[in-house]
Amino acid sequence: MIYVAVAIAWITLSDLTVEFMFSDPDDQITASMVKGWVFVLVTGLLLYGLITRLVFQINQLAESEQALKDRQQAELESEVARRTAELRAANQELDSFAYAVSHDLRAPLRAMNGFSEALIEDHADELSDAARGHLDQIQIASARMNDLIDGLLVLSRVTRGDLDRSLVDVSAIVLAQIEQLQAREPERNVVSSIQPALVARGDRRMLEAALGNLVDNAWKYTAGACSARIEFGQTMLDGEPAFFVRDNGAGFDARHADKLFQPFQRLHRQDEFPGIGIGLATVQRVIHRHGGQISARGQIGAGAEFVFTLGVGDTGNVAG
Amino acid sequence: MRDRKLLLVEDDPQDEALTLRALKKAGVCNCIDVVRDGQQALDYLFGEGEFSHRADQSLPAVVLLDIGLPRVSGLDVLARLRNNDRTRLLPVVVLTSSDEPEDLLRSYRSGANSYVRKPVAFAEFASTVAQLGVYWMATNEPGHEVDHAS
Repeated sequence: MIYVAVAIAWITLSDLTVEFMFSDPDDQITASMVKGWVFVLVTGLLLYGLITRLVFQINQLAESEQALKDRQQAELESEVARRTAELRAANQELDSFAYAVSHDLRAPLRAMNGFSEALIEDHADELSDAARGHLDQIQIASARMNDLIDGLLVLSRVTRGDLDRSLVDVSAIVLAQIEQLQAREPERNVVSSIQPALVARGDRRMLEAALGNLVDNAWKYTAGACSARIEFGQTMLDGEPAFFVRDNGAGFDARHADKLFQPFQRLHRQDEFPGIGIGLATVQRVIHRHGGQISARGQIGAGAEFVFTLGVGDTGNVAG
Repeated sequence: MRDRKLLLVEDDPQDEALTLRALKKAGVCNCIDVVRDGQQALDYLFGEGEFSHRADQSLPAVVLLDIGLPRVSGLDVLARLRNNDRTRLLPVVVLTSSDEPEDLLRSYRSGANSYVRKPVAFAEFASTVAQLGVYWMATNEPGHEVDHAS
């Protein structure tokens, strides 16, 4: 607006001034031309100034935006670094805990076991049957505590270290485990149905631990079934390819299913099925470490089924 | 046979009692010296500190070494022994409760001659210790005695 007013004023006034100053028409034309050039020059300079200022403002805006982004990025990075450090500290704590468990808790246990055994060896003839019975209980308890310590260690070790994914023949793992159990208990008559050549992308060592535990459980809980059957195969869980391990054994009370995967929680009494309650906790750790999920279905006396995914999705965790 | 000694480095008095019991039952007796931490073990073997006036400065036939020791850890003791010409070839058996793969590897890397896990079950523990005693005291021909004599 200011520019337009100044321009109109300039054109009118300068024409009048030229007419007033020069009487010769030739001089008037030259003067008009000079004044025209001056006008164009001033306008150009004004435009240049305006555009430079605009560009400068835009640059400033972009810079402040970039600075904001950089700051956010830096904040994000420091947050990630902090969390990583926390995680590392937690892992180290777990490691030193496992170490204390494996080394320091076993020594007093060995003493209890050892001295009660020494008592039996050295003073057998002085001990009454009741005394012997009490000593036997000490031995049973220390053996059980040793099992618990071993279980804790297995649980803390199984998912330690990097997850090293490769193609793993899971059918072969299941088959090998069943064959091993059959060799250990040849009197058991268990029919197994294993879908052949199923392959998963996962950490071999961890998958062996997880499948080993699931098969062990199926084997253990079908001990009382009249025609024991263990199945392994491929299925779907929430739209994702999954594997299942199924048996027709003792099953479990579905009302307490949430306790199944918690360490040291058991749904069977020691006199029914002995155990320490670490197997399924180990399985769940392995599955979660893979980014998968696991679910259990069961009914008392009607068997149990465990279905799990391994969280690979896009690369297809099931091939063949 | 010379009067060879077995050195037991063990900080847990109950483990010590059980180990001594098992060794005595196996007939490896009257020749066991016990020290209770890493520093004591080094002083004993190098004839320093409280052991600088020990009449018999000869080395034992074997050292049974725990890892989790107060003051100087078992692995540090092992490293010091391997760095010294006199004790470089001394047989050292790591005897520990730990079944951490890391401990096992570190022991061998530090120059252990053997790594034995103490079983929790006593019968197993006793037979393991007895075997160790008989093997290292009677069967094994240690190199450090020859090396030292020559």
